Amino acid sequence: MTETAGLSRTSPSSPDKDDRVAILEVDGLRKSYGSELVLEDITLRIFEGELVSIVGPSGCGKTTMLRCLSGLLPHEGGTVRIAGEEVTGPPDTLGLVFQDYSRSLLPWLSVADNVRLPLRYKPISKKEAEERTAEALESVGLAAHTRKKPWQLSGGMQQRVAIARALAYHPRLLLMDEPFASVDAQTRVELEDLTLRLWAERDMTIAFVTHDIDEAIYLGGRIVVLTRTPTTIREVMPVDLPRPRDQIATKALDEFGRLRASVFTALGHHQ
Amino acid sequence: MRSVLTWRRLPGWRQLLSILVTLLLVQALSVTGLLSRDSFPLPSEVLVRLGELVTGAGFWVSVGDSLGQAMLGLALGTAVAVPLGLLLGRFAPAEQAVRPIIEFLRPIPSIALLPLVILTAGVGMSGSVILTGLSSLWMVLVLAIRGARATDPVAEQTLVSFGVPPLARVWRLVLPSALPFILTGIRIAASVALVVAITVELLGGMPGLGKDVQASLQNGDKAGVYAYTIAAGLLGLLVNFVFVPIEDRLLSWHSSRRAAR
Repeated sequence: MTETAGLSRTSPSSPDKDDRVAILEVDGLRKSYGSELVLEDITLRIFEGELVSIVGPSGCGKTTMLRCLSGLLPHEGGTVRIAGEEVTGPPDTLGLVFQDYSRSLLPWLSVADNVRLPLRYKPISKKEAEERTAEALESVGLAAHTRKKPWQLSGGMQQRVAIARALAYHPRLLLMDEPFASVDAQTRVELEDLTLRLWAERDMTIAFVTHDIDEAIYLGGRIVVLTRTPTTIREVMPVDLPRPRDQIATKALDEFGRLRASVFTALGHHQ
Repeated sequence: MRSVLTWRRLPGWRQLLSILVTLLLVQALSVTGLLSRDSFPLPSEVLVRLGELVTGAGFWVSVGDSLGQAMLGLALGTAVAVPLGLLLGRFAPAEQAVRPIIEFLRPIPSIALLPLVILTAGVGMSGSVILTGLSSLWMVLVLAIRGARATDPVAEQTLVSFGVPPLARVWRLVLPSALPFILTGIRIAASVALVVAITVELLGGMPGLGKDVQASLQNGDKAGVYAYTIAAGLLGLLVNFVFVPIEDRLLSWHSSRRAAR
């Protein structure tokens, strides 16, 4: 999947020296609820093919930020562009995976119908929608469960359905909002590795929001550390860990421990 | 008979036994003269009368009339109440604007409007349907408004983020979310519509079981009054039982109905 022409333009206010293609361009994003300032001047680039982890202390404006990035909430200052298009409403270049799978899947629809639903409103044929649904469910390992209802599946499998739904949508950017925060530890490890596999196979761009430091390091190529509210970006750290990553070997590396300490400190935890 | 009685949710043997004991008690009270025969015919007479009725064609025409007036009103009332209720439930300002009107009209018993209806629509089926329709409308409307608010905001945001357009979200998300409320409203409204239909027949002379009760009364056919009244009660039970499996089927996904895993 190589880049097409016309999308490589960058924000005129801050010329980008990097020759990679920015999929997500955030400049001076601000948002407040009433008199409470939640997001203060967030400026961020995510480039095509990246997997970026975004961590912040709990209660910081992570979710608010994602809602602004995805056009679900209007922002009051700055600009957000996805694939070169300014975000004013939810863009069709974006796929979202929420933390709360049991609420984001529709219980009266089968697994396959949940995945297929958003495709009905895309300009694609019924046959293509069918193929994309089957392919997405296959790639998350749910080909045998397509006719079940979501609530007949375990939590981890339900979150796979939500991931398949986003994959079938063929987004340019996949935003995942603490997707594995409500599954057990064993399932979480499996879903992390599934995310890495899908990312590598599909050449996707993923922004992965989490409050789990180890998860952020294990998955990310870069880590964006946010501050407490009013939220801004504290630090962006490159993660120089070899890929493919491995739950045991990668986490045993000295560099992993060093990064953990850095992120921990950046988050404002002092020894 | 047996297959009907073993059907789920119909009275089991305990209930049958209590009905039988009650009938025998009333029979005993009547036979011994403790209950005045002038006002209380023997249960055995009533049952015989009921038997005569159900084997005659006129009775079934009346049943059809009463059911028809109740169900047509229910269908029309629901057809208006569901879209209106979903709209009002989704747009709080609209709901606030019309709430005083709804709260003023809703408590007025449909029967109180009977003279108005007789003046304008006469004593035919249409007059009865106006009243059964109105009583159903209020019942379903209030629950449809409440049901529309049961839509999960996370599910809504998910569909918004995937570009599902507003009307499609109403059809695919808001309506199914409201369905448990709406179906409860329809089930209760069906029983109420039948009560309204029979009352309207009794007081206004629209054709149906109510009119037959009135006719029996005027002819001094006491067993007939009781037999028709029992028939009306059984019809009410039947209407309720018909809705239970429909609800079960449409709401199998709902958390209250999922089989424990």
